[in-house]
Parts: sequence; C-alpha cells; structure tokens
Amino acid sequence: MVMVVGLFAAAIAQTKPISGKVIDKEGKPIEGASVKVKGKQGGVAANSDGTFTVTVKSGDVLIVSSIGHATKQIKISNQTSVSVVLESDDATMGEVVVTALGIKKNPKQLGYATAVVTSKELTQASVPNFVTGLAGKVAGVDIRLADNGINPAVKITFRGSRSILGDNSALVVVDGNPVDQSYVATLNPDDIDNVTILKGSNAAALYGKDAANGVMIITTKHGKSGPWSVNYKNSTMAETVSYMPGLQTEYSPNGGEGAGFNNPSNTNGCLGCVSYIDPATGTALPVPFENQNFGTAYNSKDFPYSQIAVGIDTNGNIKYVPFAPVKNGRRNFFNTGLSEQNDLSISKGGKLGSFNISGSNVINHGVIPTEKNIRNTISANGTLNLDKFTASGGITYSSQNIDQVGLGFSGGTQYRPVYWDVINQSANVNLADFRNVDTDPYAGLQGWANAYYPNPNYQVYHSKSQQTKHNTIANLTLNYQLLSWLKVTARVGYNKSTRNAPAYIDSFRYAKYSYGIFAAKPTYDPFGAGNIASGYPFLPYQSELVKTDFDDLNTDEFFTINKKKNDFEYTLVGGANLRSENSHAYWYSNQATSVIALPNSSTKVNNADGSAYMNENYKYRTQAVYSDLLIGYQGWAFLHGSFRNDWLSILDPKTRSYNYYGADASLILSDKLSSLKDDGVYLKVRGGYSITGNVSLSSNSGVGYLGNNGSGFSIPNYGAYVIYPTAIPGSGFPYGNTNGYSLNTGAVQTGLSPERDYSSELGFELGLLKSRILLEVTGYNTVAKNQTLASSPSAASGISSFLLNAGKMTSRGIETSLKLTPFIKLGKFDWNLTVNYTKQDNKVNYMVPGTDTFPILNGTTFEIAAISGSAYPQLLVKDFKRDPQGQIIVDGTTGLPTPATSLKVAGNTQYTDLLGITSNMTFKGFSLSMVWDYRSGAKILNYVGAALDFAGISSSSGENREHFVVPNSVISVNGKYVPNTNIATTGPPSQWWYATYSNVMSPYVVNAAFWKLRELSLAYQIPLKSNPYLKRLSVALVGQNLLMFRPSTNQWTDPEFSAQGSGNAVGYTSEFQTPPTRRFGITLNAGF
Amino acid sequence: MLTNNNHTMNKINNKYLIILVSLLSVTACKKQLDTNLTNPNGVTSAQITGKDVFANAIQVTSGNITNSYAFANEWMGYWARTTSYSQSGQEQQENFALQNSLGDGIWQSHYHNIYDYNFVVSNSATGSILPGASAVMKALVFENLVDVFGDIPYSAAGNPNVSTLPKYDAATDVYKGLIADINAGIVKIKASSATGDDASDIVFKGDKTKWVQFANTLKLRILLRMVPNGDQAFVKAALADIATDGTGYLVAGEDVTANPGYANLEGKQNPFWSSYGFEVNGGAKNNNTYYIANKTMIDYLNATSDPRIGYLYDTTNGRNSGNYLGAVSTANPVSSLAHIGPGILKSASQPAVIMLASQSIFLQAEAAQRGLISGNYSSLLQTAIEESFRYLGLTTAAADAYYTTSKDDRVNPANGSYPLKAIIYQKWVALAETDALETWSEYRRTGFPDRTNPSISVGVSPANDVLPKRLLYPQSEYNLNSKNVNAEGQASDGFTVKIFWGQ
Repeated sequence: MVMVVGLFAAAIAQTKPISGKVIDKEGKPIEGASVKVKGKQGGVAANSDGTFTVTVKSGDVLIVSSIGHATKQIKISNQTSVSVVLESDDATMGEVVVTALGIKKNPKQLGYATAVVTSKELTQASVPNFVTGLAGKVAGVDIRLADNGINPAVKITFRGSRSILGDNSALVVVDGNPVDQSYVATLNPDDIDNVTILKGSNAAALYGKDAANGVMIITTKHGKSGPWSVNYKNSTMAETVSYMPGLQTEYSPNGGEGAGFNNPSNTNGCLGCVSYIDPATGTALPVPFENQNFGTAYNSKDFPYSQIAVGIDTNGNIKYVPFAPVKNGRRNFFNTGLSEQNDLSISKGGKLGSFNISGSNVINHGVIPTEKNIRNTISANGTLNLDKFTASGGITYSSQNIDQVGLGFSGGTQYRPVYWDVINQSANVNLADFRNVDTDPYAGLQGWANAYYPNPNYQVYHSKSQQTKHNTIANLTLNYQLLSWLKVTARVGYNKSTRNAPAYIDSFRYAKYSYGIFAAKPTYDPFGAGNIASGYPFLPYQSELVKTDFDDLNTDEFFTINKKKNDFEYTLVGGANLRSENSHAYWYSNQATSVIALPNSSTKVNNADGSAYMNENYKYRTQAVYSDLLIGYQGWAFLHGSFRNDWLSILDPKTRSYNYYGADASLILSDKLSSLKDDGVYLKVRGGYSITGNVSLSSNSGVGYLGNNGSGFSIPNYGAYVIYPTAIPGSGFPYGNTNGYSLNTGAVQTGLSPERDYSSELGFELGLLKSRILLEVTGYNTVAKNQTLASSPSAASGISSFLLNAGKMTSRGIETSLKLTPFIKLGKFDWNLTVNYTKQDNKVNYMVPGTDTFPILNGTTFEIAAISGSAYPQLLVKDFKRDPQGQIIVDGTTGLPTPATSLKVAGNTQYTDLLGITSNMTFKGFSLSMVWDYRSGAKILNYVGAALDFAGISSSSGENREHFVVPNSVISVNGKYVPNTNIATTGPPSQWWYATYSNVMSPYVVNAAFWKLRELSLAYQIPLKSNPYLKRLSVALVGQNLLMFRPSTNQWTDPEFSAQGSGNAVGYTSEFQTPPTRRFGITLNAGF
Repeated sequence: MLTNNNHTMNKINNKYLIILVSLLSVTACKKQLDTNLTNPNGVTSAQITGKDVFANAIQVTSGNITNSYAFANEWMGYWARTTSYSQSGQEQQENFALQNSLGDGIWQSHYHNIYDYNFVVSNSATGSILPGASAVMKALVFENLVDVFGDIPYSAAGNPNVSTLPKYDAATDVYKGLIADINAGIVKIKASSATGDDASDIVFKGDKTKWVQFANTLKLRILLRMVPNGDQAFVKAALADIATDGTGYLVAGEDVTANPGYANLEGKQNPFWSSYGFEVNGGAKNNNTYYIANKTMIDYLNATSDPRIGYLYDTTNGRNSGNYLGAVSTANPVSSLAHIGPGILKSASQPAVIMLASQSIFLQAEAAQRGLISGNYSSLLQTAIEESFRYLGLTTAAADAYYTTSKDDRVNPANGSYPLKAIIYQKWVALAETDALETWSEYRRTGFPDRTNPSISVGVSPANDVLPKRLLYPQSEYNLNSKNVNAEGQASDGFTVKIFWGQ
C-alpha cells in the first residue's frame, strides 16, 4: 500500500534538468566528481570543466562526491543551476576519520579518542622524519627521539607504558598495512596525506596482536580529482650543535702524575714536557699525554712556559700550542650540518580515478664530519573508480645510504664512540686544527699526544659504520559494491626491507718511536706515558658485515554491510586476515675469535682463520577472523562493538588462539537536544572498554658489534621459537651417531599465554561558539595482566631463566586538548591556538612471585627496573652511604664517603606531564607557526657526567680541587652519626673526582623536565597574478629545536634522549648520544 | 517493482569477482601456524627425545665427579699447587675460608644435570632402558648434592613447572627418597627391552643386569651412610630387598665408566684429560701444571711402600715429592714435584669414571664387616685392592703381595683391631683423584684417614686446620631463593653443621 502511494507520488512529480559545476576551494573544476540523486540508482560524472547535467525534481537532494574531497549534499528547490564547492579532505579532516582496517567513519560515530594530523601540520617545519613532526601536537602521544644524529631511533608511545618487558610502541599502519616502526624513517613526509592516531586499544582492537599500544594510521597521497598538478619543494637546512655539556677551561691535563713518575734525566723520557713537578710549589704540572685534566691552572704562574705539547712527528719534532684554553676547542670538532631535500610530485584525478607520483631526494650531512644520510624515495599511488568496482593502491620504493662513524679504539680493544674521544681532550686543544689526519703527523694515531683517546678526527676517517637500506612497500585494495548495501573488500600489502651494513676499523702499525713504556725494551714512547700504541703496536683491520632482511605479506578480506531501518542504521564488517612475516640475519666478522665479542647464537660458525659467521631465520604467521558492528540511532547515538580471534604461530598450539573484544558508545547530545545546537554548542560524550592482548615473547635481538652505537642492528625475531628453547650440544657431541644435547638453561612456562590488557576510556568533546572553541577531554585506565617476564629462578629448579606469565601494571591518564580557532581574529589577522595537555601515571601492581624489583636493564652502578608499588620504569642508582637522615657518611680519618652496597631508587623515568602548544598566526599571505613542547615528571641519569668528572673535564670538576669538608656530612662516633665539621678530604686532591664522586651515579640524576621550541616557521604565500603555469609559490623560514630550557642542574644533554633507543629502558643518556642540535633553513614550495 | 533489484544482481561483473576470490583464497591452515615448531636456527627440545640427551647427561655427571671437586682433591690430600699464583678463590678454599661462591658451580651444574635426566625420564621411547637408567643416575647426583650441602631442594627440584623456587628437604628424607627412586628405576630397567636407545647408553650399552648391579651398589653406598645415624629398620629392609632381588652388586672388572668415543682430537678428548691433562699436540694444560702431588699422599704412599705411587703420580724424572696444601713451591724445586700420574691420566680416549669396581667392593667389604651382608670382608678388601691396582695399571699379583705382606693397619686389617680403618684408608687411595667427593664424604663419616697420622692438610694455620663439614649454600640461592634457603637457619656455617651421617 505504501509503495503504491509512493509510485503515485513519483508519477505526478515535476522532473526537470538541472546543470551545475563542481569546483574546489580554489575555484578549479573537479573533473569526474560524482553527482547522484539521493535514493536513486546511477548518477553522472562531472566533465573536464567540472560541469554536469542531471534530471531532478524539486525536493531532491544531490550528493556530490569526489576522491580526496568531502562529500556534499545539496537540496534542490526551484533553481536551474547549482555551483558546488567541494572542500578537500585536508581542510575537513574533522569530518572523516580513518579507523581500523581503513574504514572511514564520521567522528560522531566514534566512542574513543582519535586525532588527525594533516600533511601541512606534519611538514610545516620541514622535518626529515615525519614522526618528529608529530611531537607536541597530539595529547597522549609521546614521541621520544633517541638522539640528534643522522639516523636516530624514535620511540613512539601512546598513553605511556603497559608492558614491562614487551613492546610499548604504537603499531604503524601505512595504507592499511602494518609495517615495522623502523619504516617510518624511510617515508618521505611530503608523501603523507594525513596521520590518524587511534590512541587506545579500544580503537585498535580490530588490529589484533599489535593493537594494545594504539595505532598510527598513515594515509599517503593518492591524488585528487582535478587538473594536472605538479608540486616542487626544496628545503635547505643547516644544523648546529646547540648545547654542549658544561666543560671546565681552567685546568690543564694531568692525571695525578707527580715527582718521580718521569725522571727528566731519563734519556727516553718525556719529550715536550719539561718536568712534572714545579720545584717551587710541588704542584703537578701539565702532562701532555693525559686525558684527565687535574693539572695546574692555565693562568698559573707555576708553569713557566707559555706552550704545551700536543703532538710529535717521526723526527721528534714537537708541536706546541699556547698554554691556554681554546674557546670551544672541543665543540669545534662538530661541523655545521647541511641537509637538502628536493621533492617533486605530480597528480591528476578524474572520473576514472586519480594518481599521485612523487620522487624525493634528501642529502643530510650531520654535525659529525663525514656523516651523511641520503634518502631517495619514489612513490606511485592511485585510485581506480569503475562504478561498482573501486581500487586503490600504490608502490613506494626508498633507499637509504647511511654513513656513520664507527666505534673508536684505545689500546685496540676498548671500543668508544666518537663523542667519547671528543670530550676526553683537554681545553688547550682545538680539534678543528687537527682534521688532516693522514697528512698532518700530529693529528694521526701515533703523533697525537693524548695517550688514552685518539684524535676523534682520526676515528672519523678510519672507522666506519655504513648501511644501505632498501625498502619496498606495495599495497592494493579492491572494493566491489555487490549490492547497494553490501560491499566486499580485499586488500593485500607487501613490505620488503633489506639492509647491508658493513663496518670496519682500519689497521694501523705504529712506528717504533711511538711504542709505549709497556712495550718491550727499548722503549721509545716520546711522551713517557705510552701512546695508544702502548702494548698494542699493531691495530688489526677489523671488519664486520651485517645483512638483514625481512618481508611482510598481509592480506585482509572483509565485507561491509550498510543497512538502515527506521531510526537505526547498521554497519557490519566481517572478515579474515592472514599475515606472514619473515626475517633473516647474516653476520660475518673477520676478527670474531680474537677481538670482537661473540654473538650468542646457535648458528654461529667459527672459521679456522679466526673469522666467523652466522645465519638466523625467523618466521611469524598470523591468522585472524574479525567482526565489527556499528549501530546508529537517529544520527546522534552510536553503539560499536568489535571482536577478533587471532591465531599466532609463535605461541603454543594450545594457547595460540585468543580473542580481542572492544565496545564503545558515543552520544551527540547536542544533536539530540536541539536547544544546545541552536546555541552553537557541540557536545559529545563517549566511552569504551576493550580487552586486548600483547604478545611480548621477545624484543628484537641485536646483531653486529662494530656499528656506531655499539649495540648492533636490530633484527625482528618476532619471538619465534622462543617457547621452544634450543638444546645445546654437549662438549664434543655428536660422537658418531650419538647425540648429546643439554637442555637450554632457559625454559618457558607450559602454556605461556599472551598479556591481557583491560582498557577503559571515557571522554567528552565540547564545542562552543560554533566550534570556535573545542575542548576534548579523555580519561583512560589500562590494566595489563599476565605479562610475560623472564624471571630468575633458583638454579635448583634446573634452569637459570624462566619465561612465565606474571606481573600486573595499571596505567591511567587524562588527555586534554583545547582548540581555539581562531583564538584572536582581527581583520585579516588570524591566530589559531591549540593546547594539548596529558597527565599520565602508571603503577606496577605486582611482579614475579618472590621478587619486588625486576630489572629491565641491569647494571652495577645503575639499573632501570620495574618495582612493585611504583611507577614504571624506575631508575636505581649507586649512591653514597648515608645516615638515616640522608646525610653522607664520611670516614672519620680520610674525610671521604664510600659508595653504598645496594642501589637506591632515584625516581621514575617516564614523563608524567606532557604539554604541547601549537600556535598559528596568519596575516594576508604570511603565516607564523610554532610548536612548544613541555615535559616533566621524570628523572634522567646522565651517564656521561661520571666520565666527565672522572677525567676532570666537566665544569663541576673545576671546583673542589683542594681538600674540603664534605658539606652536610656526618661521621660515625661510637656508633652514632655526628655532623662532620672539620674532617676534610684527604689523598690526592683529584681523587675526589676520579675515585670518589664519579664512583656513584646519584650526582648525575636530574629532573628531566624541558621546554622546547620544537618548530618555528614563517611562511609567505607569494601572490601570483593568474599565471597560467605557476599556480602557487610560497617560501618559508623554518627551524627545529631552536630553543631548549632545562633545570639548571642538568648541565649535560637533552633529557629527551635515550641511550636505549626505542627500548623500554628509558631514563639514561650516555656517550653514544652526541650533543643536541638545532636546525634552521629555508623552504620553497611551488605548484604548477 | 522487484525486477529492479534483480537487475542489480545481473550486472555483477564476473571478472572483478574472480580477482577478489583469488585474493581470498590464500589458504588459512594449521600448517602455517606450525612453522614455530621447527627452529631453523637450532635444535629445540621439541625435536629431540631422551636418547639425544642421555649421553651428554652421563658425560656431565662423570665430568662433575672427576672435574668439579678440585677443592676436595686438595682437602683429601691428593693435590696441592705449584705456584704462588692462585686461581680465583683458590687461597680461600685452601685455608678453609668457605665462601658461598665455592658451591655455586656445583649447584648449578648438578641441578641442570638432574633437569636433563628428568627430560630423558619423560621423553623416551616405550621400552627404552634410558628412563630407568636416568632414575639411577639422578639419584647419584642428588646423593652427591646431599653429601656436599646437607639439606637440599629435592622433592620440588629440577622441574620449573613444579617450582621455580623449590623448598628444601631434610637430608635424611632425601636419602630415603633416593632408595625409593632407585627402586622405581630398577623396575623400569627390568621392564625395558632392547631398543634403538641402547646406542645412547654410553655406560652399559643397554645391559640391564649391569644397570641393576650399579643401582644396587649405589643403594648400598647410600644405606651404609645411614649407619649408624639413620633409620636402621629402613636400612635393613632395603638391604633385604637387594638380597631378594639377587642381581647383586658390581663385581670385579665392572667399572662404571662412559665413553661416547673420546679421542685425541680437538674438542673430543675425555673431559678429565681435557681439563687436567694435555693438549692434542701434547702440551700440558694449565691445570696439569698447576696441580701437583700433595705431600700428605706422597708421604703416606712412601710410608706404606705402596707401588701405586708411580701410577697415581707422575714421578718420572726423579719427581718424588709434593707440596702441602696451601704451600707453594719455595720449599721444593718445581722439578722435584710429582704431577697427576699415568694411572689417572691414561689417554685422551680413556673412559670417563662414574664409579670404579673397587668402590663397589670396598662398600661390600664394609657391609660384610658390619654384618649387613654375607661375605668375608678381608677377602673382599683384597679384591677391592686388586681392582684398584688393575684400574691404575698394576697387576693382581702386585696387589696381593702389597696386601699380604703389609704390616700396616691402614692396609691390612689383620695388623690392627679396627678393620674399618684399613677399608676406608684403602678406599681413600683407590678413589684418589677420580672421586674426591666420595673420599671426603667417607672421611666425614668415618674419620679416616685419621688426622693425626698424617694430617691431611698441613700448611694451613693449625687453628684453622679443620676440614669443612659441608659447603655453604651458593650465593645465588640467597639472592633468588632467599625464603627457602634462609629457612635452613644455621646454613651459613660449614664447620658446625654436619651432614646427618657425619661425625
């Protein structure tokens, strides 16, 4: 009956043709834009000039859509032509959010926190790695850069840590396919259209095994409908060291050598140094070969000479420099880095689809001489639109050539990074004057006066750690609209990454004149102390090769059902996933059995010539089925649930199947309560709960020993085979056919199961004044139970390490985001402001039974650990022995304190407060953008501080060079501690620094808080008078990390740095992180 | 009306569907998930069975017996050292300044050995002799642990799925448990049949009778230790079981040794030879130079005109003296110091010793002397000495001459009134350098060799010249299993706390 009426109504309606034009915001026609009449089959596509004609009747609604643009609906009344302006997705990101599996949703439908960062926001400061362009821009997102080198590791975490030993890093998905986090460094930031952050596991449950840590969904540019568009960008940036540690320039080199150490009458002794003792005062005089700087002051009258030796050549000629500190003598080692980036992209779109082809080249010369990182990227992406069948896909190839300085050498076996050799030089040496290491005899290995650490310039040219990486990622998504309400989708993604990483240290045979006093007689050592050559007159050629490759094939097939019934609409997704990951590592060393530490691998083969190699292979397979249901009610209430069942190859067949569940709801109260809407208020309340898993069987293992970071290259092993530990062949076995294995001393609990994360979140979004003010607040709580931990059992159990399910950690936090668009608007002056603030907190509820402290990084002077009842992770350091009041106990005779036997808790190392401020001012064609980043609530240990104090190089070690009474110290008198008022330190004065103070780590722990001006950009859009070829031209002055403010106690380095790279053990820096840098330059952007 | 919808269906383009379906058809199967079961980088415990583990477990046990007790070789007067240079912890152990670290390696190695045997017990072919044999070997290792430490983790040990922090059991309970364990092993051995696993039995090649004889001998050793401080009814009942069984003990010629195929090749040498002997090319290993004869033993052998002196020690080139424990070579020129002898270091391919036949016969001699089993203790003692001579490379005739002509009560009980003295003294000589733990245990149990004539360790300050009664629990237990090890109370003392059978 209803139908009959409907038919009748249609029959009597007046139909008419209507013409129109579809253009974009800039007025350009959008070719191929789809124009449909709501509720009818079929439709038309706009012509090349954007025009179309369609037959409608009054009251019809036109739906105009085009790829890359937001869809628009226009109600037709009595007009005969329409002009449709489609806004690009960029500008309307608030309206579409890419969620799990690439499913696009209206943000109203989401019951969880998300954030979208557009291409423009990411690249406004011309960052080489787009992840650094995320820092400070999204609440709840912690981007931590391991260092400022040319190839830094980045740790990306959302909402803090959940897993004690497992991976806490967010999953990265590129165009629907998960990739290894290392892949982000190979991406050209300008190829990225937008990045969607799904912060919690609620949003990500559908991704399965890697979802617990949130997901970063990267969508690359696929072109947009419209005419040919060519874009060229050049960015030229300089980079300089911004902060060196505090170094003293007052005192000269001396390691405590006194009278008699070197008798000037000894014919073999001490060329270039006249005497070690000032006969008048008995003061230790400068010792040219020392790395320690406990000598006389440079301005001292005690030293009667105006020069000091710094080198000697084969003829015995000595090079002297003035006996005075050189301004920035050590800092001058660093170059001004230079990076140049050129990008070219071409895109075109029409009714059949679109494409985007781009190429880019980046040459980045770092601040360490000779270091460079070259990246080339070629990318082709496109879409195809054939009525019911649509496809999108692309392929990106990138190569990286990373050329870094390898480890140094002292005595042939002590491997040190170049920064160590920079800081262990005295203030009278200007490292910039000793660059010609192969021609200048004083700059080479044997002529260099410093007996302990070589000229770092030598290391730059003779120790190399190189990498060539090739990365290919391809993906294809096919959609078929089977029925008006049923769509099927198939997606396949493939990622292959190979790395070839040779490293070497050149050999060197010292001339006899430079042999040290420890060498066989006769001794020649001209400086009387032993050069590096002491005992090691021959440095062997050491070479190493690491090859790694991994590939990842990921396929998804799913259907999407969209149905509407009365007030309800349903979207049901169901599908399956298969993922197959393979990893291979090869390692070779020519010195494996003599010099280089051996890898602990059951595949290692020792060759008779002292070399060795190994081959390791890992496989990981995942199968999954999933389902996702969204129910909407009247467009203002949404209920969403997801379910996934994973089968993981790396687990035991009995436990390898497990499920993820997620449910969330969203209520747009302002849509329901029209009074609110009428007042320009937007109010959304949302909440969700999920149960996900985290398989933390193993972190990536390292391979390689000569590489620049000393810890090798990470190879993904996925935790494959971990639950079946390898048996070790007994000594001598096999004998003939008789095997003789011993079981591994590590074992795994039977039925080891994944970690379970129980996560809930609740939030609201409030828009006022038609969203001019937008406030978003989300609170979350995650309880991670059943963690996978390698405990240390009693040896009486038969083993020494036991992987078991234990431990519980709770994380919670509040994420706040306040957007003011505009904050101030005065005529043509616009000021937009976004403030993000995150307060996060976590607590280890309990650990392995029988223990409260579980180290995640072991050490003798410090540890980073999980401690029951405390925030995670905790830093523990060696401190002095103290009385119950916390005062340092000194010896009643020597006046010196001693280190305590056990380590002391120094505080948590994960930031608890993160504040980001993004400001954007525009005036006519000018725009000034900046990002400020503040973090606090964490402690950091500066390991390098102890090295600097040990050697008397630090500015702090310029003090206390005479005996003194340790402030606030106590002595023990008859078993009671009484204040020490008069017992001064004893022994050689320098002993305080090298033997006492630097033996404990507590002085080097500081508040890790900082304020940073992350990004600054001043751009100008040059007005062009309808130039037929050049359509857009802009130029920008950009800068990164221009300013950093730290507590005055932190005199060492950038507290954001982490010696553990992307590992969990954040909280300390070492000599492997070179000083922080700032970058600034100019960017030119032209559109054709 | 309805035709409109049907019309849609007809328009489905088959071509695209085929593409979709072909992508969908990537098969999901169990085989893919099972990739984890095979590790290309090594052999996993899932890929091996008991027969792949047993031979090495035996090698480890024998290696522990001969190699892990250098300190006992010093304490029992067999070895001293040559140089003023001391290896890590050496001086402390020579001065009986016990440290927790001394027992660390023994603890770890023995328990991991037990863990390996447990694997053989539960992962062997049906009918295999290896589970029964492993039960016997495991009992031997546990017995050694009791003899070193006293109370030890036993019922909850060696199986991390049972406990990662196992509790300690009273030594007396462990001993009783071991008898039951060996009995269970004997049942399994008897029930076994010849299988392919016999090839991995590098001790008896699947000879069930010999395994049972060895098991009975081990039981006898444990039971004798329970006299007189243990449960005598239990001892009597257990001995009655052995008599009923009828298989008997190891007899003359039946040394319990293992040889998977030792040879003078790199990595293939007999473990004792490899540590205390010589390189493939003949050069002396560090330990061979480091350890030399202890004056205590040299003096005793000379005093009793024991022809074994030239076999226990390398006395060639006029090297006829030794150092006292803790003393270094200043008193005697190094050239005069005797080294480990050719009866102990026979060749790189010699079998590894687990229990010599002489030990079995000494045990029988003592049991006969105590009236616990039938037999003539004197003739058994003579046979035991013959076996010792035979093992070291001397003739039976030489043994008989030595035994019958000696006027010393440490050799022939006919010369004295306390037959046990000769039995334990002779065992002390017979087991020298191959099973020092056993002679240290027998010393602690019987007081022989007695400390006045001669003292077994001279060179230590007299006030401290008391042999430890046990080793301290290892530091790792205090770090990791603190609750259980601290429940042992006086455990930190190695001089007042004795093993339950000790004096």
